[in-house]
Amino acid sequence: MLNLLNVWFKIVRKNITYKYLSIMLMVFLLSLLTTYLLTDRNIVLSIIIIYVFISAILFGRLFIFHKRLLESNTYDLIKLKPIHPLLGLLIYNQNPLDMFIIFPILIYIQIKNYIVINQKR
Amino acid sequence: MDKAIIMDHVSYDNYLSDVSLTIQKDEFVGIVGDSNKSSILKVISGLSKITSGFVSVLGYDPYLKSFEYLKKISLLMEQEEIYFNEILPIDLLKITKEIYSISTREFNKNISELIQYINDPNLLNSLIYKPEILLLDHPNFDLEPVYNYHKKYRSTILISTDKIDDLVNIVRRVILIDKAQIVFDGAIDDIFTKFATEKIIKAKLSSNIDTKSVETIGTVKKYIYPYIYISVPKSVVSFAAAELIQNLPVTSLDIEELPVEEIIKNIKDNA
Repeated sequence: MLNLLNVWFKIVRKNITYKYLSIMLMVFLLSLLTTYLLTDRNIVLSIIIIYVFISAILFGRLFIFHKRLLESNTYDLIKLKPIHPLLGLLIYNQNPLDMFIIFPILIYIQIKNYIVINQKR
Repeated sequence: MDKAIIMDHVSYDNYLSDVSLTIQKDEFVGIVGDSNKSSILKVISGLSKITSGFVSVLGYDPYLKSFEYLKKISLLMEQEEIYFNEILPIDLLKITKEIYSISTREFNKNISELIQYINDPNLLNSLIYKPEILLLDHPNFDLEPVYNYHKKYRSTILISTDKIDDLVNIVRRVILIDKAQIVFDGAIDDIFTKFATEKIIKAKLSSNIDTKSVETIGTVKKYIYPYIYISVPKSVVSFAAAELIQNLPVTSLDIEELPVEEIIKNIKDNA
């Protein structure tokens, strides 16, 4: 799993340019500032709102990619890979920002594995 | 010999009706016929859920899509693979390596072996983890590398295609599908000796002709200027082709096997 993400990161790394990074950083800071002011200067709430907002956009993009694959019947090929279809979508979507979604999934998998191992004991 | 695929009285919506077949390990089978032939591959791969009957592939229920099962099969479909086109072939291979948990040593060994005779990146990507069953749905590449792969690794291979010509000298066994049912399951040679005893000569003409002048050579199947399709017995095909070139204003000439629909019609007439 970690090796797969490592390969994914190596592939999407070439999409991360200085221009891309600076635009993303600017959008992020501006959004953070706006939410910070709108939430009566509550920084924790602002970060949560920004995170939910970015995740929603990323899921939207992922949904469009999913629809595109469904239209061409290519989604079937992802379903036949021995990984979770959502992870397959994230891998083939090649969007570096998907890291925002992948991190919680990784944490979820780690927690799930931990629970399973403890239950077996 | 071990059985790789067992389908027993399988029905799947209107696409398959009471289909039963057994495919042994290391068999190379061609599936030809109407549009329902891809449904067999979809049922075997686990993409489609059957409405009745029993399917077992390598002892697994394909529809459950267990990871152990998915690591043993590979399905290559005809449609343009969007993500395949956007990712460099080498990156795609690296992703496949990690998805199928292949060790670096095995990965390098497999690449160096397969690259010698496979030059299609999608096919290479499907075979890099050496699946036990390879399913090819309307492959648009040369089948010779697939044949060589089968000869070397003895894996079970199923190919669905529209043209039976593609399978000549490649497969021994052919399954013909018509209206969701199997109408023939046997040796490809049997088809050509019993049900496809004629060949089609497709000639391109430089000027319009009267079809009556061709009737001495063979049966005119279709004539849409500039193309004429003439059916002739296999034993006299070279003679008929020579006759055509001599007597008609032919600019190009092609000899093809009978279309699948006609072979199916012949099989049904014989039955």
